[in-house]
Amino acid sequence: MTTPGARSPRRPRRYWLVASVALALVLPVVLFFYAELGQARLRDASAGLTASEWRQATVEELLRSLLDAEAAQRGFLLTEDKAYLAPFDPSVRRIPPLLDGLEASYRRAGSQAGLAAVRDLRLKCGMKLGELSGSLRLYGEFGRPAAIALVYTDLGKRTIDDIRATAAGLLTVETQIRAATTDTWVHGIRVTRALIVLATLLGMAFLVAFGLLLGRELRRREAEAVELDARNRELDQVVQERTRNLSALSSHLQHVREAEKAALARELHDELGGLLVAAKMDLVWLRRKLENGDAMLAERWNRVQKSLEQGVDLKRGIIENLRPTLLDNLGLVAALRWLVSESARRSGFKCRERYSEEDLADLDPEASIALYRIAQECLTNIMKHAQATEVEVELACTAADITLTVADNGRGIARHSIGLPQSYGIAGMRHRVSALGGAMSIAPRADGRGTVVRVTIPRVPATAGDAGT
Amino acid sequence: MATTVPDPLRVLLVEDSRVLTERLAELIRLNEDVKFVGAVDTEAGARSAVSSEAIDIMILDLHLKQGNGFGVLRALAQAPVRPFVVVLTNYDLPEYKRAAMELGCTHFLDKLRDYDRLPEVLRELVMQARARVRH
Repeated sequence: MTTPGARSPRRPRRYWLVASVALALVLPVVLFFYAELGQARLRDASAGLTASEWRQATVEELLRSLLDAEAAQRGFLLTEDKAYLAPFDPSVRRIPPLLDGLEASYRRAGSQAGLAAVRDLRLKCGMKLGELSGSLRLYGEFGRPAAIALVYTDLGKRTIDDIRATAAGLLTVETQIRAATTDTWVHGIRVTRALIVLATLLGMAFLVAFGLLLGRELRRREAEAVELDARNRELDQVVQERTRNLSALSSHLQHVREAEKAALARELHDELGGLLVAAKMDLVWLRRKLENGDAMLAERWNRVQKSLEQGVDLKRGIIENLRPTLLDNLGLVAALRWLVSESARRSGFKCRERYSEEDLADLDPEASIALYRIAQECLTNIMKHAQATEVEVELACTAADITLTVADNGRGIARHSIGLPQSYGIAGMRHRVSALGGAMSIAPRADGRGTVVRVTIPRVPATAGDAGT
Repeated sequence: MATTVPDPLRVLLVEDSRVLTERLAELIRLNEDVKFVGAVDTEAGARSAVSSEAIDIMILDLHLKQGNGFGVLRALAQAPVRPFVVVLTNYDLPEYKRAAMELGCTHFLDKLRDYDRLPEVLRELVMQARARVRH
């Protein structure tokens, strides 16, 4: 049973659901932005690496240029062949732009250590170049021995060692820069991967949770549907039971009504009938005594007799209306014959009748009165509403059931009014039929004009000693 | 002239109304050629009276305390010896008359309109019975 109280513990779960949905929506967005950011950072790192490689190459080229210049100076001083001096000047001229490029690159990379090293390098390169060109100047002014003497001092060697050391320092700085960049790169990739894993796990968790919730929801709906179904069936049963009760009550009332009418008819016949006839008999006796009386008395006598006869006729009419005596005395066929001829006489329609061979005098009294009342209702309806000129009545019997058909050529019944609760006459007919386990149909005639009412009821053999009332 | 007085015809009255039974008995007794043997008020009573006593004429009402006049008529239709049956009833519909005549009643009288014809009908039946005996 679902009660309002049982629903409240579900509330927190709803919040949880909302939170997880929100997370599942927000997380991919965060992931996207982080990935975009990482992409930019990777681009920067890549550019940084390229710059670092370029600087490393530049430092090596600087060293090579210096060594080239030194080799040219040494070769010339040793051999005094001018051809050795040819690469000296180009090598010396290459050095300042290389130093400028390095400085600019370190400034862009924001590396203070790099900048300091470049400044140091620039100084030492200046010293080395000064030493080289100084020795060549000595050669020009004082000759070869003076220049060789300068070479033999360890000044040149120290300077070049210093330069190598500084260049090595620079390469170390480059290695550090590359390592830092790679670290940043790896870290970014790791974070991105972690975010992807988290998002995937959350997505999976969300899917599982959603699946569970969906399953539970489906089961709940199914249970509700089952419950609803059960409740509907219950209600259906209640309705059926009430209908049965009402139907039984209605049957009972119909039965009681018939019984009361029959009792009243019997009483009228037995008591009133007897009294009236007795009065008539006494009147006949009086008449004999009055044989030679005067005319005045004879006339009175006639008037009294007439009144009596009218009274008896009235009583007979009332009795026949209350309870068709023909039905009890001569059976259904005789009663129907009389009913039809009376109706035809009163309303002037032509009637074709077809009856079973049997007189049906031993038919179950309930079935007899029901069929009689149904025929009566049909004929009353025809006289009241149908404006028919021809009526057909047929009563057919088989061993199993009896079928009564009443057809007319009147203006027909509007289909919608057949089922209306206002059509109590028809409802009453239906009830009588269903109480006897029979079936009834009301339809337009085959040619479309008029109406056919057909009633079939199973033939219940009358119990012995039950015939008549 | 009449050396042998014929036995009076035995008349049974089948009628459910006490008031009428008295008056009818009175009327029957007026005829000296018949003997009123008694009155019954049910179908079963009528049947057993016919089988136990020799009844020549039956005055039969259709409405009885138990069963009805048609039951009596049907039973008589199968009996070997059948009395004359005069139906005297309140049911004046032609259907009743036709049905009763088919079942072999000799006269069908309406209690109200034909009641005063009863003595005449009795005389007629007496004559018929005598004629039947003579031939």
